[in-house]
Amino acid sequence: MKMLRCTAGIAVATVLCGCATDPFRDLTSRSVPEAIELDRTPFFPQQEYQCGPAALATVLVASGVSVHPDELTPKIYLPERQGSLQPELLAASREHGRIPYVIPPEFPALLAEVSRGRPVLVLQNLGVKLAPTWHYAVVVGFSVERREVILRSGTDERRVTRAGVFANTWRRGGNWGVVALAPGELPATDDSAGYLRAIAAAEAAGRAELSEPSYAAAVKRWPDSSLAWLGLGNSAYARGEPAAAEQMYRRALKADSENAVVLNNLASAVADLGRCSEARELLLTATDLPDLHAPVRELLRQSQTELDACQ
Amino acid sequence: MRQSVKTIAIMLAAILVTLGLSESAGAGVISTEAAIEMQERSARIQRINSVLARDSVQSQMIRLGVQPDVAAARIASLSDSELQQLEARMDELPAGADSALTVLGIVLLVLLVLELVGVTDVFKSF
Repeated sequence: MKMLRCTAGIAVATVLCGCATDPFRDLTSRSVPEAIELDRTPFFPQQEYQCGPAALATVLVASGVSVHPDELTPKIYLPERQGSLQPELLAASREHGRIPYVIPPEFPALLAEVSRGRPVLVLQNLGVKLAPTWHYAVVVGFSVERREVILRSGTDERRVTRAGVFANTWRRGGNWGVVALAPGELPATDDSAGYLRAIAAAEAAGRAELSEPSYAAAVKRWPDSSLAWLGLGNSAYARGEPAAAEQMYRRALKADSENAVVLNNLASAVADLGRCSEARELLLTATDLPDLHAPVRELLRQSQTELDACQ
Repeated sequence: MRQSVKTIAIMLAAILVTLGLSESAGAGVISTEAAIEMQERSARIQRINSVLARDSVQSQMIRLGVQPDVAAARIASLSDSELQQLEARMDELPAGADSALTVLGIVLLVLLVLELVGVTDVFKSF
């Protein structure tokens, strides 16, 4: 009887153990240290259901902002959901002068940010898919040799978790991790798309003081990114500087000459500077581009109509 | 006014109002966030009237227990795409809470096994 039970136990364990992974296994980068712990990261022991405010305050303070979880609770906590939602965590970061950059959903990206000295706020599902227990925690360190990840989590200042276990809980949260970047601070990986997405969200939320220096840093780091130059151009345009905007849009076109959005916005800037026929030409070039999506075509058509007013 | 125009107009107006500038006679400017959406091949641009989206998200927040004036402030900080995410799924999105166990009975037994083999991480002292 005893042996049967034991065997059954092992069988079950074997089946289930197949789920436990070794996220360090494929690590090739030598820029990641063997072990690191950001022990100066502050600790805010969470109150009931308040892991969102606690975790967010942790990464914000680590990035140089002065804030306490109690100030964040009214900005992100939803009483009836007894928790905080990811989009609101991002919005609240911007309120405090930081760009919330969502890292690529991969373990190496997480390690790269921590190695750069930046703790990462993560969403974990500590339960299972059908009965989730959502939780926010902050990764402050790891050890490759011991296969461990170190977190500020809940009421644990130092929660040391086996890397495979962490990877499972993180994966069930969609491998979602966020780093608080100061304006102009670049991510640890070569993730221009994710970084620009983060800046564009700040721009869309009206935070030019965050987005402008960040677009400026982005064009230095990725001078061939038409999107980065577009962002810089849009920032200049929004400041009421069509001449500066024109320069940026032309740089964007140099990187991508068949970009309908850039052509549209350049037409706008040029029209504002009184060069109406040139603006019309630009829009014609845009409408002649192959493979335009219907919505873009619609926008261009509208822009052309509005240009009728240009003398 | 057509929907797409209204969207651009609202985005542009929002920027202009923020910066206190007067409207120009130009062709309208497509926001960087919208450009990203297009570039990532999502064939729809944000057709949702962002004013309506804001109202909807604000009502949902109030229903979920947030004070109205606080809700208004929270809406103001969200980007357009975040507004969209919240509008569609406010009741379902993961709400990070804490690490307390919330299931009972037979499910508890299953979780115990899963915890031992490292699939879950609900218990503290393991």
